[in-house]
Amino acid sequence: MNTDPSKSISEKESYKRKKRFFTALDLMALPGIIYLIINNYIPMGGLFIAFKKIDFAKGIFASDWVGFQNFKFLFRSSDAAVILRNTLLYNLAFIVLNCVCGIAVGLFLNEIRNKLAKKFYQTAILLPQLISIIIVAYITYGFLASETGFVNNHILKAMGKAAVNFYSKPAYWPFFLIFIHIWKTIGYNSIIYFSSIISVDKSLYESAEIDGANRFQQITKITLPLIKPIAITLTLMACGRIFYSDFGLFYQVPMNSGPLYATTNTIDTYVYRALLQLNDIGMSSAAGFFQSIVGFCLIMIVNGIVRKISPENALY
Amino acid sequence: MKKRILSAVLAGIMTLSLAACAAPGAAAPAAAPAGSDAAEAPAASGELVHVKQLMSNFGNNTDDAAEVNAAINEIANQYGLDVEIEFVSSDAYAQQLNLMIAGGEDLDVFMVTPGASSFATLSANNSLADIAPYLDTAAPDLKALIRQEYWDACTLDGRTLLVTTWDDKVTGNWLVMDKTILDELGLEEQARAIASYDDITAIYEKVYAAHPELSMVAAGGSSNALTPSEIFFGDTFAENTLYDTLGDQAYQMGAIYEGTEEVINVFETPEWKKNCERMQAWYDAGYVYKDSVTTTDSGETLLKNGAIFSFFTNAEMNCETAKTSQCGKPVVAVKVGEVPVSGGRIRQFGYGVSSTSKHPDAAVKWLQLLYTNADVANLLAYGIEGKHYVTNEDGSLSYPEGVTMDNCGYQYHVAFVVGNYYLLKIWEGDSLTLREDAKAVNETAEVSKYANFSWDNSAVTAEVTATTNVYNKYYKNITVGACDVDAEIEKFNEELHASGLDEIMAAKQEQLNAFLGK
Amino acid sequence: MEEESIRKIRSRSERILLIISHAVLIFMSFTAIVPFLLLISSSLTSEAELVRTGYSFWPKEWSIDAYRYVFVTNWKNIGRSYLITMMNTVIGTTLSLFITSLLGYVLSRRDYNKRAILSFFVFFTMLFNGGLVPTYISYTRIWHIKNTFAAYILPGMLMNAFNVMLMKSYFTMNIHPALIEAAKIDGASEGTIYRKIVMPLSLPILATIGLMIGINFWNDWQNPLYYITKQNMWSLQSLLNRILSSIQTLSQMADKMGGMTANMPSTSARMAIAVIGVLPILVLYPFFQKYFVKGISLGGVKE
Repeated sequence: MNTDPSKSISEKESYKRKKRFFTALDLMALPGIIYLIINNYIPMGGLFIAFKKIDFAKGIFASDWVGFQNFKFLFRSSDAAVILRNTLLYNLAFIVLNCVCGIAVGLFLNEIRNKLAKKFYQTAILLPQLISIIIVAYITYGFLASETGFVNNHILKAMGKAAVNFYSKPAYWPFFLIFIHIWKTIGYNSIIYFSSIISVDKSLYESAEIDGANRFQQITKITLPLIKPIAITLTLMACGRIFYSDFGLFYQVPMNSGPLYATTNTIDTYVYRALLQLNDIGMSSAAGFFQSIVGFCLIMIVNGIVRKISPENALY
Repeated sequence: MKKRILSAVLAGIMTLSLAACAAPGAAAPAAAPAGSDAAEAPAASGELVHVKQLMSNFGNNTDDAAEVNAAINEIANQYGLDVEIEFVSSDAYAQQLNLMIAGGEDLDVFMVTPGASSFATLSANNSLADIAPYLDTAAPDLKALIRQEYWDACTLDGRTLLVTTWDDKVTGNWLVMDKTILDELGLEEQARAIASYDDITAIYEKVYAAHPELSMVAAGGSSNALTPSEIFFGDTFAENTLYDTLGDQAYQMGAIYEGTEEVINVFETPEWKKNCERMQAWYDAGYVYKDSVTTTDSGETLLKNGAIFSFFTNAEMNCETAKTSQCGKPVVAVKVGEVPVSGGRIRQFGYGVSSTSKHPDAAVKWLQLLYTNADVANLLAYGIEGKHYVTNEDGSLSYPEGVTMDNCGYQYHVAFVVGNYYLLKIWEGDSLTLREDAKAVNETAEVSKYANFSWDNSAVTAEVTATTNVYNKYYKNITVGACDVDAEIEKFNEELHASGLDEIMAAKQEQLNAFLGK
Repeated sequence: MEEESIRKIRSRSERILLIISHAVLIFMSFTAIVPFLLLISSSLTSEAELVRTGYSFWPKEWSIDAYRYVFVTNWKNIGRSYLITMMNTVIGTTLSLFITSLLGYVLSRRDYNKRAILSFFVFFTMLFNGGLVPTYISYTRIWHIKNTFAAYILPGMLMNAFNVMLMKSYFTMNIHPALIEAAKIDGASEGTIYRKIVMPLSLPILATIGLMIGINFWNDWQNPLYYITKQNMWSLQSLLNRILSSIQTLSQMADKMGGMTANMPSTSARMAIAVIGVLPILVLYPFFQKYFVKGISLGGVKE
């Protein structure tokens, strides 16, 4: 891979290093590796639970193998298609919007000259991140409730319109949920992009300006291409989570309202509600396994594509 | 390039297999946990056997649990037992219990409560140990204490799995109304004479006319359902039709009319439809709290704060006094329905011995102590005398000087769950003869024909989860009357059948037939 | 850099963009702050009004009962849990930043021979998860962290592949290999390079990810839920969430439990607890903000 002649010296040196059993870099990576083994890889062995019917008297290891039976419940419901569709569509929307809005806001923040204004904006848009999702659910309820909600009592009534029972009309909720998701995550999202944007060498802009480019062109031709790597990284990682959903957003915020299931029921909420009664760890493990496998396949495909187009941006 | 991928994959597999190999050795099977407390030796004379009990705190303050535990041990030690009681926050209880059993941690006794830690769930994954062999030897008094019918209801395939709480199991469905408003309109007498839905509607009409800003009734949280389970309200409350849910009270898939032998679908019965249509009429008249489907506030909270006029609830005979103290204002409670004690009701709360316990005999012995020793029971329920409560002249208990509900260090007043309800002293506010009255009713209470029936759903778990999903989607909305009830009921049943209701009912019928000896 | 703020706005396109930026950001700040104001005002509203007429920005019945309840009943617990949470956050964030940046840096080095395998090794953890039960069993049976301080920091919190990938991405973009080569020729060891060259150049990303890690540690309530059963070891957020989800759990239980919820803290108390949980971060955040605005300091490499 290193074909640059100016690197020949280091090549020899790193060749020498290869001979040693542990290089300094290996040592530096070690804490992280050890942690991942402890935290992720050892428990990963427990994925076999998805294929067992757990009997605590026998213990986890001696329980019976039941093949794919624990996976059936994911597809048995008359709502199975709805659940999968909801999870997928919301995540696609989130991936696209997170990227576009995050970059846009990061760019806007970069344009602000006034230091005080910049500080204020950054603090303000980060606020929603700090509030736990259950509280967000209560606040949303405070806005949207039928009897006591702000919107029904102060806005709709003032306009002379009838009260709307938001918690029984599924059509509104994709908008509500997407809005709330963006609202909550834009703070941090934009900061990630912002810290990449400010790392772009300022002299590039200056020379572009001398060449006659206006600000819009500077942004589209210089900034955006240079933050492409991080955008691709984030998008790729989001693909791996394509079948997961933010439980708080889809369960708490709609206040667990039955009529809204058509647009708020996702895999995670379905599994949670199902297992509230059954509490079968084999089944919950199967659900997690299913979500992981799909994400895994998707990433393999997408990363493969990215690797063909711009190899240095692929995840591995 | 290819070599790199290959090596990456191989390295990944290697890592995985290393991890898999490490796991069995490291995480020893539940039966023989590594490095946990010894206490394996049977209690030689003078030696104490350690019994660990897990309880849900039901949202109550149990800061001083250690002190109370020590006081309990002063008594328990005399019986050769060293008891460790651990309270877990109610929201985490089922999860903690599951993790402790899965992880093979030291655990002997635990509470069984509705939800994910219910009898049905715990027996399905075999968390409960069979205590039948130990009852005669270690706990004869306990065996004699509880009605034989209840023991039978807790026995599955000859294995006794649960020690049910010995308390007032006769519950009825009550309508609780705000007394101040009734007095204001001079309706108390009429309210107490309620004998049918129309009577209630008449009262609502009058109250609503005087107080249009109030909702008449709400289905607060999930505890105040407008159409309770196990009852179909008739034209008058004396003509109610009863049904049994054949197992879990909350799970109504496949129920049965009391006294018959055929499993039915509750949601296709004309009685249920009629109940829901009544609700729709109320909703359209503006009587029903519009946020009933989503509110997390219970009926008690709503009434307390003047948002509603009345609510339905399941309660025992002391409903009026209990609700008066819970709502912080005087209420009138009228009983509108009564059910025989069903199997689901018997198995609702109790104590189970963990199947991973190392000394189930000691665990059962401890339970006998809890159920028969008044000092232990009162310690567990009320805490330490003088610190957490004081005894009044009439024998009732109340908070000591300077202590209130908010700062009392221990107030586990959940009387019906502390084992033997009848041993507990009365907290002020309740009738002083409550225990005797309850006992009288309970000793002769009718037990449902199907009480001993409890079904095994392992063959249809997928259908159970699918139908639960449909149930959650429609049930509350329909029973609150917030929609076109007829149309929704049709959709509801359509989806139920599509989600496997027929398989569930067939499975239940098969097991029921075997149970009835056909 | 400093020059930017002094530099005059020369072109029309810059002016337009500036106006758009301000407009959008003002709108977003507004939507961010308004619910927050509602949160504060509802914590100061009387319970009766909340239940009867709902949340409003200017309640008719003001009351500090909620805060009185929280502090009177829980002041011991709250004080202690504040301390615990602060310790967790500081220690956890420092450790986490350290090992995350180390790993991210190593992965960004193009001359590292195990780069591809290690990348996959790290990345794979994002896809597959053993689940709660195996993780719990592993941590409690093998490592015995139940009811210890380590339970706040270790499970799932100390490092995750997402942050490692972000760090790697940043280092790849901004730390030019020539810089490292130059240092090696001068005889610097890997550790020195990391400390003296890479870290100073990475303040923006360290601050960014450090902020997020810090917020996660501060807000985490799941680890205490599973691993900490001793009440005197609870963190602030777990205290809050215990109360909030207890209400949910109890309302899901059978009818018997209905009466219990009447004793639970009221809606305004829940809001008060939320405000108390958020306040410290709000107060401290502006102090850490300067690291975001700081660009790359001297020592860059001219292409």
